[in-house]
Amino acid sequence: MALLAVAILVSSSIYLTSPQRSAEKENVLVVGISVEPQGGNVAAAVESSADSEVISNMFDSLLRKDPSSGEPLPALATSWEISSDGLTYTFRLRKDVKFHDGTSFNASAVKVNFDTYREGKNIGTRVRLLRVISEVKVIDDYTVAVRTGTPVPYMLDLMAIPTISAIRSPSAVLKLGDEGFAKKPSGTGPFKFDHHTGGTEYVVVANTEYFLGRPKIDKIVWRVIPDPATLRLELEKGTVDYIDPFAAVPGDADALKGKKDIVVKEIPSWKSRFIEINNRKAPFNNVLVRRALSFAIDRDAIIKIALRGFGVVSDGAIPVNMFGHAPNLPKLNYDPVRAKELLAQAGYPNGFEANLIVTPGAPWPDVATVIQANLRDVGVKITLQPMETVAAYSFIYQNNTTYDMLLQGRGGIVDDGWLLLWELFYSQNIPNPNRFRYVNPEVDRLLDSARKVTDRSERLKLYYQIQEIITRDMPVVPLYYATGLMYYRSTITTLYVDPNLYTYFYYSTKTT
Amino acid sequence: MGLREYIVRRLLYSVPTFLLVSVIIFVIVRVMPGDPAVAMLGDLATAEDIKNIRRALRLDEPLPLQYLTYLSGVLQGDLGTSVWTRTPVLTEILSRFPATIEVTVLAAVIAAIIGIFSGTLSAVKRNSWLDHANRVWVLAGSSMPFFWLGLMLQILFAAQLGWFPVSGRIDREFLPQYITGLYIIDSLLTGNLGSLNSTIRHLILPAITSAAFAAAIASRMVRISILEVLVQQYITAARAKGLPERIVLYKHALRNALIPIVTIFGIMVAWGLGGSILIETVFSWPGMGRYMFEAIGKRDFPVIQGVVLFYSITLVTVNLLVDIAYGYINPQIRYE
Repeated sequence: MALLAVAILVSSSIYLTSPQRSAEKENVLVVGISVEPQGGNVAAAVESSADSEVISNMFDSLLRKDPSSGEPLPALATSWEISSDGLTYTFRLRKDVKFHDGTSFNASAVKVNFDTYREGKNIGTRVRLLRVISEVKVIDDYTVAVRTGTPVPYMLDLMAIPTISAIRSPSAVLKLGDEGFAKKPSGTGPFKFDHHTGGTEYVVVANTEYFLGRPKIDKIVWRVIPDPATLRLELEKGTVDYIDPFAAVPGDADALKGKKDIVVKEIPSWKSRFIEINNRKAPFNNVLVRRALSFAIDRDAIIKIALRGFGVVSDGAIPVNMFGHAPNLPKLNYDPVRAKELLAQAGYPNGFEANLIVTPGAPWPDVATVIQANLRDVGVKITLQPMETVAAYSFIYQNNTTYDMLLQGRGGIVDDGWLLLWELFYSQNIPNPNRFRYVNPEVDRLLDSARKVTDRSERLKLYYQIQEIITRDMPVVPLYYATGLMYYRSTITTLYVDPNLYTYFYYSTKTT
Repeated sequence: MGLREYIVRRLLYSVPTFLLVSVIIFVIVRVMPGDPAVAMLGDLATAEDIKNIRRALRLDEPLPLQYLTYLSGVLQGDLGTSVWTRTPVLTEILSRFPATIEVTVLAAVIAAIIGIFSGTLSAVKRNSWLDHANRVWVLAGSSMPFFWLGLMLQILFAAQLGWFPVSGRIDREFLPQYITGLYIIDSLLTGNLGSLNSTIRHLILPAITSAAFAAAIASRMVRISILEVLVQQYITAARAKGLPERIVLYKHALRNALIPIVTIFGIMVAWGLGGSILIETVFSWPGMGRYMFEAIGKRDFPVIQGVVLFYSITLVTVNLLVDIAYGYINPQIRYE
């Protein structure tokens, strides 16, 4: 009873005296995220949006992206030259940069990092893209030459994305090891690691000596709030300033739009969504069947019903805002009558039965329901196979030859459609990432030649040709290009989110 | 048999339990669909990358060998290393256990207080409007899902009235100096009233959410138990002696009625630990339940195994304590 009395006493006394915030005038931005960042080391980073976002704010690459145009701008490198064969990139580096641990940045730091990334012994999922580098040569303290084995059309982009090519403090990596460094990262970026409380928050503070000038935000706190309903209440209450695109749920948009202190913003991404099809299994090995599936899908209905209006009807694999998107591809019409004709031609006048693997989480189950209804209208009976995401991926790794269809899609990583086309449709990428097991020697040949063409407009022509073939062969049924959603308090004035949907807080300001 | 001997024997009996739990969970995580290597590398990895990771994690070894490696580690107090964070599982568990225990114990205390109070009232005022009202709330309390009740409390008391924070364990600026990891204890030990205030404000909603079900069940049990005791002859004798009803009720009836209630305290703690997965997700609480839930999503085998083993040890300990307490309340019970 005494305990109860104490509890009542204490709790009643605190009802009205909400804790006084200490008088600090710090400009703190609180970001609500659903997944906890594990660490700040690109070489050890697993596939996680949260890790990518913290890394993007603590590290620099040699270049950075112009927030408005997406073009590469100088960052740790002041200028660069590309050799006439397109294989060697020579970067001149800044001389005034220090890592967060106080050591100086120079050409050998670039070499040490790139050599680690390209050897590929580490598990970092994004740095694997740097395996295209064949040699890194220190020319002098502030000049470095990076050579690739074959021409890489998107090389400058790789050099501008910290989750791929972050420059880490070599002495800190040496001292702490990969795992230790992940827990106490040290880069050159606008924000420095402060602390990470497991299950609660990841905190970085402004790097006051940042070479492009001090950030306007003093501290960023990523608060881990796994439940979307809780996250929304925190934003409405003002205890969270920003819900990033990985945590924002489309279902909340309508309700939040009406609040005067909250901004709802939709931004384009590089995420392309489609039905993945096992191209070598009957009946899907018949191109007429694959085309029929495409005609049977009502893409407008998917966007309106399943995505609540957020998304763009797609016409191919490369998103509209990515370099290489073919503007004149035939529109993918909804035409169930034509779909039935094609199925009859293919020898399936009464349709057939098939499985569609669906992963949980918005919007997949809703999209699957629309697809199931659409296909039923043309006689194709779909059994939905709900599988937890990791289970689904593992299932397809193991059952690559026997699965029917998977509702997924791919995100581009760099601003050049070549990488996306190559990953998805190059025959040597079977069984993964080309898990549709699509083979077309003409596509292989065009992809091989496109990578060698340095002239952008010439390359574009080849990309267009590839996309025409893909539309004809229909190895996947394109559905829509996903867009990102951001919910934030109106006290924040600038938020730069790139098409990978990572937020760069260096450009942000917040009024207190 | 003395108490010490009894405890030793109970602990020995629990060894097979732990072994069984460790085998079952070891097998379950491995037959569960989904591969840790795939979870780490995402769906774009090549088959070779996946193979390399599997080898690095020693997942390519035969299962019995993996189990023996694991078991020999456990016997030396090493629960393994998280596949994702590369942190020792035991370190992570110990850093999150206080958070879970704080809610679970507070919830069990709240449940016991409310349960005993409302159950007694209900039994004494049998068939009055109070009893009927109590029946309604018992039904509601035992049928409301955690996540729904939690959300409703958040909307009303945090978002609308603003009395409590929506989620989290403490305000960042009030983090107490680390001593036990139990923020209430730590802030009391350091005399940090700001911390205590912030801790309690954060604790109340999750604890009430967690307590609702157990309180309802306890209330029902207390009511039945008291009604049974009240018709016993010694109660009639006490009344015949002319003792005031208050003394009859609280000194003679309630004390005996409480014996069966003590046993369910262990069940309440078990229920709280099981429910911690939902409660901690709704309230962004950095405890063990959420830690395990996230580990399942990532197929972090050592973490899942470690948490389950740790939970079973906790439960065996709590039940042992309950049985010992039982003996103190009822001297007739012998340790056999």
